[in-house]
Amino acid sequence: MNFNKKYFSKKYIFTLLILAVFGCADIDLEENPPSLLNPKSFYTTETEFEAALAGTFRPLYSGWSGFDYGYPLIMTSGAEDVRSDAGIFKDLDRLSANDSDQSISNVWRILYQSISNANAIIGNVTNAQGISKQRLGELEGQAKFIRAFNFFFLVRWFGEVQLTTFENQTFIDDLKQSSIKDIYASIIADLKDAETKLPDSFSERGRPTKGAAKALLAKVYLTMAGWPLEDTSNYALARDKAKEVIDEMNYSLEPNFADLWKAENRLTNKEFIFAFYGSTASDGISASHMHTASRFWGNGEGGWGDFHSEERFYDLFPDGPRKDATFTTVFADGTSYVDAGVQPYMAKYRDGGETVGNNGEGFNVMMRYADVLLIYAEAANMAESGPSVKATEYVNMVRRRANGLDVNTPDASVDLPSGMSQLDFDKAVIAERNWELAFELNRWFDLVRKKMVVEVNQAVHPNVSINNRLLPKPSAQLIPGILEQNSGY
Amino acid sequence: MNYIKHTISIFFLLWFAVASHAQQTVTGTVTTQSDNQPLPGVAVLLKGTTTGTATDFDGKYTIEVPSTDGVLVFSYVGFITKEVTISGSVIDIAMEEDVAKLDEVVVVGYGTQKRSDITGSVSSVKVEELQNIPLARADEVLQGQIAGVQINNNDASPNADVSIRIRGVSSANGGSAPLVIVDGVQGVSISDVNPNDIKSMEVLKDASATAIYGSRGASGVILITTIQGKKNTKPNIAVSTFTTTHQIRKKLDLMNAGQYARYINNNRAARGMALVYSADDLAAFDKGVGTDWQDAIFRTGTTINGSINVSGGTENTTYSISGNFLETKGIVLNSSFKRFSARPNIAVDLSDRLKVSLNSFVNLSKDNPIVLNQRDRHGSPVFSSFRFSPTKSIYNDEGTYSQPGGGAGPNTEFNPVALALEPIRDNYSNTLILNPSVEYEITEGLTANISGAYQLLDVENNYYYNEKVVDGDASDRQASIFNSKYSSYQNTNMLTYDTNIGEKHNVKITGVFEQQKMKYNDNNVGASGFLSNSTTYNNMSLGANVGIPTSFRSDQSLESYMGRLNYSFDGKYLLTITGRSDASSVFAENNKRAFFPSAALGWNVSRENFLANSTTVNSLKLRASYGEVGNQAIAPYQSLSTLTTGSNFYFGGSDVRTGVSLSTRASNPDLKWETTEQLNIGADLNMFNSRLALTVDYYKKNTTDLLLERELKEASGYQTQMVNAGEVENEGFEILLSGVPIRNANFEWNSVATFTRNQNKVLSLNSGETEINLGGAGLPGFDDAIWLEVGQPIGLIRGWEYDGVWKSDEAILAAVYGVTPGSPKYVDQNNDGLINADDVVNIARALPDFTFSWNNTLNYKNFDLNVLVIGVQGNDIYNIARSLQESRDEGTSVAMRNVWTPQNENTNIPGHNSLGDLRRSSRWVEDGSYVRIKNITLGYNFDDGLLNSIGASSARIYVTGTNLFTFTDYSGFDPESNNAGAIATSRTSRDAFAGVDLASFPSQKKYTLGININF
Repeated sequence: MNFNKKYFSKKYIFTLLILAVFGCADIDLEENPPSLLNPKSFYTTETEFEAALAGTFRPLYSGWSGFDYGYPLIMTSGAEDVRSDAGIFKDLDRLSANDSDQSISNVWRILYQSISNANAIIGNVTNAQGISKQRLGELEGQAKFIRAFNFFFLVRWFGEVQLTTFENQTFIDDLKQSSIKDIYASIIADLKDAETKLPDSFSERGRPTKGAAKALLAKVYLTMAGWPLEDTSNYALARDKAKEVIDEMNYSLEPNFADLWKAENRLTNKEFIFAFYGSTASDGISASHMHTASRFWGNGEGGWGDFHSEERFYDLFPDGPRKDATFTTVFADGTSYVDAGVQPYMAKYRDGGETVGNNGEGFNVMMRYADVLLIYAEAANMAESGPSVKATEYVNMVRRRANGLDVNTPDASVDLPSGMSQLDFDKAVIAERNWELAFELNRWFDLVRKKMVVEVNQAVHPNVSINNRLLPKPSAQLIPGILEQNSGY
Repeated sequence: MNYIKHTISIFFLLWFAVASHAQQTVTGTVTTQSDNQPLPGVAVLLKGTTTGTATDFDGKYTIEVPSTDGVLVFSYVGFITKEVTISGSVIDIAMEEDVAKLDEVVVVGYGTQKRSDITGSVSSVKVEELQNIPLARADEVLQGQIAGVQINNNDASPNADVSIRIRGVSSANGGSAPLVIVDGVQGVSISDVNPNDIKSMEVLKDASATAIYGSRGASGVILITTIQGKKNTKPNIAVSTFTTTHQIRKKLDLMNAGQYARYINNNRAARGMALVYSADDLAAFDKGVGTDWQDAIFRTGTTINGSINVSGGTENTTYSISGNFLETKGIVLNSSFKRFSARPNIAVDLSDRLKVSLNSFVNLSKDNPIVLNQRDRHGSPVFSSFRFSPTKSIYNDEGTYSQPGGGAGPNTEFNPVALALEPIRDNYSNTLILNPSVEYEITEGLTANISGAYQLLDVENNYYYNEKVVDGDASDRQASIFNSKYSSYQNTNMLTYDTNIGEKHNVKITGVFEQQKMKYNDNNVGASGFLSNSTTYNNMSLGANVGIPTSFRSDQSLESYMGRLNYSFDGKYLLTITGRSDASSVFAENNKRAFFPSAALGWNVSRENFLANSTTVNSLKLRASYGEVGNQAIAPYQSLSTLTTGSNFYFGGSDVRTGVSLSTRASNPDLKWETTEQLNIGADLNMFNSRLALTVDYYKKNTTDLLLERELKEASGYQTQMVNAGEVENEGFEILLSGVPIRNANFEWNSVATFTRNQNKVLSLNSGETEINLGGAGLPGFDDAIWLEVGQPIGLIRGWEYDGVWKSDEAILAAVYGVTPGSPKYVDQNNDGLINADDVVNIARALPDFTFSWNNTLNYKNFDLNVLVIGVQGNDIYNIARSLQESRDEGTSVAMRNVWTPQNENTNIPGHNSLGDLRRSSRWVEDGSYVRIKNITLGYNFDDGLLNSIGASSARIYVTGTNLFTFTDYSGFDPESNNAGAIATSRTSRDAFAGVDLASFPSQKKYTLGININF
C-alpha cells in the first residue's frame, strides 16, 4: 500500500483534525448515578413517600436486631418476667448491664436509624407533589407516630439522649443531649399531630392509626406521671386519652386470651392496636424470628433458647387460662421444664405462623386494648384519689378474660372488690399489668416509673441500685460534654 | 530493534556490493552461539580493506578475497565482533551475544527507552525463557522472576484467582493490585493474556516509573507488549501445545470410617450421651463401609493447551495472528475451565512518516467453578469433604445422596459428592479489545501518536440448583442469571520530541492528553420452585417463585494530562521528570483533580573515564527517584449520598411494601485518592562480559490519606463514612542477581536469584484511633479476628494465646477459670483470673519477612533444563479450616485420636468434655514458610536434519513437573494457596485477610508434556 506522498502534504491539518475529533470526547466529571436514588430529589410523589415510610419501619423489624428478635425484650429483662442465661444477654437480666452489650448497641442503632428516616419524610412534606392534603397527612402522621414511638423507648431506656428531629444530622457531634422533659415534649407534639392526621384504620393492620397515636399518648402521659419526671398532672391526661380510645370503640378485648397469640388471628383480632408483622415473602424479608429465639433448644422444641421466663415469676403468676397461654412448661416431647432442668419458657411468641427457615410470619404486639384499659384504671385512680366504678370495671374486664370468663359479666370470684383504697387499687393494677402484659416490654418500664427496680430485685440480685433504672448508653456513641453516660456506668 | 538491524544490514550490503572485487571465494554460515540459529545481516569484512558482504536470511555469506592469508571481521549489532584468519574456502562461525553492549530497548509508560537511559526501577521479565515453560496465563509468568513482586494463588482452581502485589500492600480498603497495560490499553485482565503472545513484559516499581500513571500507579504497573510480525520475513508458523495431568498435592490427614465412629462413640460416652454406632456398625466400617470423601471428590485433572501463531511481514506491513485454546478439568469433580482466544495484530507503514496499526484481542471463556468457603446446601465440596461423616456412603440404597445428621457430623453441610456434581454453574465471559493507533512523524524528532482503545467485558453467570443435594422437592430448585457488561473507551494523544542539542545533550519530551470512560451495567434475575429440572436456568418462567430482579449501572470518567522530560548528558548523567494531572469522576466534588509529580536521577558510572575501559565492569548505574503516585481506589458514587433500596416492610397487607431508606453510610464531598510517596535508590551492575549482573533497590513507600471507614455516631442515622485518614509504610529492598556460572561450547548454565524483603507497618489511622477491627476471619467463633493496628503490619490477626490443655494436676487452677482438666488453656495476659476480651493479643501476621526465588536454565547440546525454586519465609497462616477438622464433637482429623483424656495428658487436643471457648486462638496459627521447587522442565531441541524432513525450522519437546517438591511445616492443603479473597468484603480488600486459610481449592502436582514447532 503506497500512498501518494502529496496526499500527506497537509500533514499538520490531518494531525490536528484527529486530535480535535478525539479531544471532544464526552468526558463528564460530574457523577449522576443512573441506578441510585438521590435523597435531594426523592421525597416528592406519594409512592416515594410510601416507600420511605416502609424504609422507616424496616430497621425496627429486620436483621435480627429489633422487634423481630429479642433485643428489646432482653433490655427489659431486669424485670421478673424475662430472663436470659446466654453469655451475651445475661448481664441485663442480672442488672449488671455494661456499655458494650450487644442488645443495647443494636437497639440504639435501629431506633435512631428509624428516626432519621422519619425525619427525612417529615422534613420533605413541603416538597410533596400531587398528594391530597389528607393523604399527605396520613403519611406524615405515620412518620411522626414512629418517631415518637422510637424516642419513647430511647428516653425510657437511656434518659437524656440527643433529640434529632431534623434532617441531615451531620452536626451530631455538637448536638447536646436533651433533657428528659424536652424529649417528652417532642414525643407529645408528634403524637398530638399524628392523632389529628391519622385515620381510624388502614387496610393494612400494621400501620399506626389514630387509635394507636392516642393509646401511645396515654401511655406516654402515664409514664411522665412516674419517675423520672413525676409530674402527676399527667394522670388526668393519661386517663382522658385512654378514655378517647375506649369511647371510640374501635378495639375490644379478644374473648379468649390464648387466641391473641395465634398467628392465624394476628391480622383479624380486635385487640391489637399497634403491632409489627413478619413476612416470609421472598421479595425483601421483614420476618419474625421470635418463634425460634423464644423456644427451648432441646426436647423437640427446635428453638434456640436465647431467652425465656423465670421460675420466680411463673410461681407467683395466678393460675388460669391466661397463665396457660403465657408459658410453655411442657415441651414438644412431653418433658416438663422442671425435668429438663431449665426455666419456664415464653408461649406468647411460639407461633411463628408460616416459616421459611428461621424466618416466620409471626408478630410482636406493641400496644393492645387490655393495656389501654389498665392505663385508664391506673391513671383515673391516681387522678381521682381513688378507684371509680369505671376504673374498677376496666381492670375486672381484663381479670375475667384472664380466667376464661365473659368479660362483661361481673364475677365476684375474680373481680376486684369495690371500695379499695387508692394505694391498694394502684398495686392491684400494677400487678395486673405484670400478669396481663408479661413479656410485652411492660414490666420493666412499670418498675422504673413506679421506682420498684431495686425493691423487686434486691433479694435475687443484691448488686441492684437505683442507677439500674436507666441502662448504659452504648460506649461507642458517647461524646464527652455532648452525650454523657448515665450515672453508675 | 529488528528494524534497526535490517537497516544496518541493508546498508552494509549495498556498501560491500559496490566495493567488492571477484578473486577467491570464501563461503560459510553465521549462527548464534546461544541457540544455534542462523544470523542474517551480519557484516563480513576483510580486515584492512573495504571488501565485505553480509549474510542472507539463512545466515550464509559468500565473499571474494584477494588471497588466503587475510582476516575476516564479522560484526553485528548486539554481538561480540569476531575476527577469523582465513584458512580454507569454508568458514562457519558462531557469534556470541554481547549482553553488555546490547543496550536493549525497554518499554516504559508512554514510550520506550534504552535500558542504559532508565532512571526508575523497571524490571523486565525474560519472556523468551518463560515461553519454554508450560504456562497458560501471563500472571503465572511473573512468579519467581522479579524481585519485589509477590504472586499468590488465592486458590488453585482451573480459573484460579491470582493476586499480584508489587512492593507490599499499601492499602486496607483500596486494593493493591497493579495496573496492567497491554499495548497501551489500560486495565486489562492479565490472566487472559497468553504467555506465547508476549513480546516483552516490564514491571514498573518506583514512583519515577509509575507517576505517569498518576492516580492509578501506586501499586505498580505491569506493561505487556504483544508480538508483532517482522518486516520482510516470510510467514513463520509457530505451533505449541502441551497437556498436563494434575494430581492433588496433599490430602488432609483424616480418620477413616472406623476410626471416626470410635471417636464419636468415645466422645458421646465421655459426655454421658448415647453411643451413635453399634458394634455391628463398627464391624461394617472395618470391612470397608464408609467413604473417604477426599477420594470421592478429587480426581486426576487434565489441561490441554494449544497455541498457534502466524507472523511475518512485507516491506510496509507486518502481521501476527495468534490463536489459543485452553481446557482444564480441575481436580474437584465437575470443575472445569475453557478458554479460546485470538490476537490479530497488524501494522502498516503508509509512508515513511505515517504508520497505522491495529491490535485486537478476543477471548471467550467458560468457567464451571465449584463454590469455595460456603457451608450450606450450595456450599463447598472441599469444605464438606472434611466435615461430612466418613461413615456414610455416597448414595443411599435408593440412589439418593446420603444426607447430613444421624448423630454425627454437621447438620447443615451436605454430601460432598452431591455438592460437586449437582449444582450447575456456567459462567461465560467474553472479552474484546480493539486498539487502533496512528503514528506520524511531523518533523525530525517530533512524533505524534494517537491511539484509541475499546474494551468490552461481557459476563454471564448462570446457576441452577436442583433438589438432589438436600433430597428435597421442587421448592428447593433455584436458578439465577446474572449478566454484566463493562466497556471502556480510552483515547491517548501523545507528542514526543527527541533531539540532540550539540554533541552531548539529549532531550526527550513527551506530552500526553488522555481520556477514559468506563461504563458498567448488570442485571440479575432469580427464581425458585421449578416444576422441572429439565430446562435448568434457561427458563425462569418455570419457577413458581420469582425473586425481585435487580440491575445497576455506573459510569466513570478520567481525564489526564501528562508530561515527561528525559534529559541525558553524554549518556552519563540522566534526569527524568514526570507529572500527571488526573481528573476523575469518582473523586468527590471538592477534590476532582489530582497532580502526581516525580523526579529521578541516574548516573552511568561505567561511562566515566575511570571505568570506561574496565574489562571487569561492563556497566554500572546508580539511580535515585522520588515521587507521588495515587491509588484511585474509589468506586463510582462512593462519595455521594444515596438512598438504599430493598428496605421493604410488611404492614400486614397482601403484599410486602417496597421500601427505600437513607443510606447508613454518610457522603463525603472531600473523598479522594490515596497518595503514595516513594523513594527509590538503586544500582545496576554488569560484570565479566555480562556473566554476572546485579540489581539492587532500596525503597520506602509511604501511603497517606488511606481510605478508611470511619464510625459515625449513630444518632445521626449514619453508621459509617469513607474518609481519607491514616498512613501505611512499606520499606524494603530487592536484589536480583543473575549470572552465567558456566558457559562453553556445549554447556551453559544461566542462573537468576531474587530476594525481596518488605516491611509493612501501619503508621496511623483515623485521628485518635490506634486500631480498627476489620471483621471476622470467616467462620463462626472467629469474629473480630482481623485488625489494623498502629505499629503493626496489615494482615494482623488477634485471638487468645493457646497454651495447650489443662492437665489433671492443674485442676485447682483450672477451676479458677471455671473450667476442668482437659479444657483448652489460654494465657491470662493480665492475670485477673478471667479469660475474656482483655486477654486477646496479636497472634499472627500474614505478611512474610522475605521471599526469594532461584531460577536456573541449563543447556547442554540439544537439551535444556529449567529449575525454578521459590520461597516465602516468616509469614503466619491462620488455619481456621483446621478448627473444623478438630472440632470437639465432630472433628474428622486424625489429630482427634490424640484427644485429652485423664490417661492421655500429654496432648494439645482438648478433651471430650472440655469447657471454655474452643476458637479464636493461636492454636490455629501455623508457620506459612515454604520452599518449593515450582518448576522443573527438561526440553530437547531437534536437529536440523530431522527438522528439514518435516519442513520445520525448529522444534522442541519437553516435560515439566510443577510443584513436585515442597518443604513446609504447614498442615493445610497448601501454604501458597488460601481462600482469603472469599471473605474480603466490599469494605476491605483481600490483603487485610491474607493469611486466613479456609480450605480453598487444593493445589496440585502437575506433569506436563509439550512440544513447540516453528515452520
